Amino acid sequence: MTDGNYELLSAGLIATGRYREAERSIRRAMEIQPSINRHDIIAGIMLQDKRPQEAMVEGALVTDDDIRAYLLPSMYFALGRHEEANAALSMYERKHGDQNAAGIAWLYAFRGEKDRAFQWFDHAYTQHDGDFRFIKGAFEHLANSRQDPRYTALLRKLNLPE
Amino acid sequence: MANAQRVGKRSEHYERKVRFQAVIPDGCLAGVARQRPIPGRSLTDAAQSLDPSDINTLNIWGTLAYVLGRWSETIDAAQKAINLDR
Repeated sequence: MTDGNYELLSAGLIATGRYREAERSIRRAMEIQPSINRHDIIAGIMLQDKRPQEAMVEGALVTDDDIRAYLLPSMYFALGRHEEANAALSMYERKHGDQNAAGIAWLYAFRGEKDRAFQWFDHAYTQHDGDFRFIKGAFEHLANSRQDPRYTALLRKLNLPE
Repeated sequence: MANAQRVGKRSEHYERKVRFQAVIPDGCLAGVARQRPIPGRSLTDAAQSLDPSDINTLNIWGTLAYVLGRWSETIDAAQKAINLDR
């Protein structure tokens, strides 16, 4: 559970914009349990902290193909490599759209495309996507959605507090 | 567990997702506590039913706090669990 506690701490810190502390927390978890690979979480933190070059380096340490495929659209986008970002996102959608709709919504939110993000959240709802657990901690923070009536409606559907 | 069967174990990407995948019928997530799903109850009720001073439920309690958007409680629970785990 040790790594889970550090990941939980990191999630809370990310939600409050304390990115450097969040990164330290994940690195500490990997020190304690060298067998776990959480470079994708660190790369994600760096992206939100507007450090895309560092995120690219960290992302190269990810060993899981699907996790790396999930990171690529945002890393390319943050680096201004939009054609590659679009291609990577399209590929991810084709391969994982029926299983990770909430994750794809997050990718669109990262690009500032809220309409597409909400379309994917609709898919995620029909899929009973467990990643809705991140909606307040990641999406709300990322997409500045608190005033968006679609966001409020989604929270109500999920029985989450507004 | 239908989602677990559908997703399978093809990669860590999905194993992490499945870890929290249980969803109760009204659409409210309860599977945040895989070890202790509380079907039919809201997350708020679930959070209130856990003792935040109990080391065995701290991570679950902190996770529920995170899902509910209660950041300071999330951080407090995680830090307390880390300290107690040392």
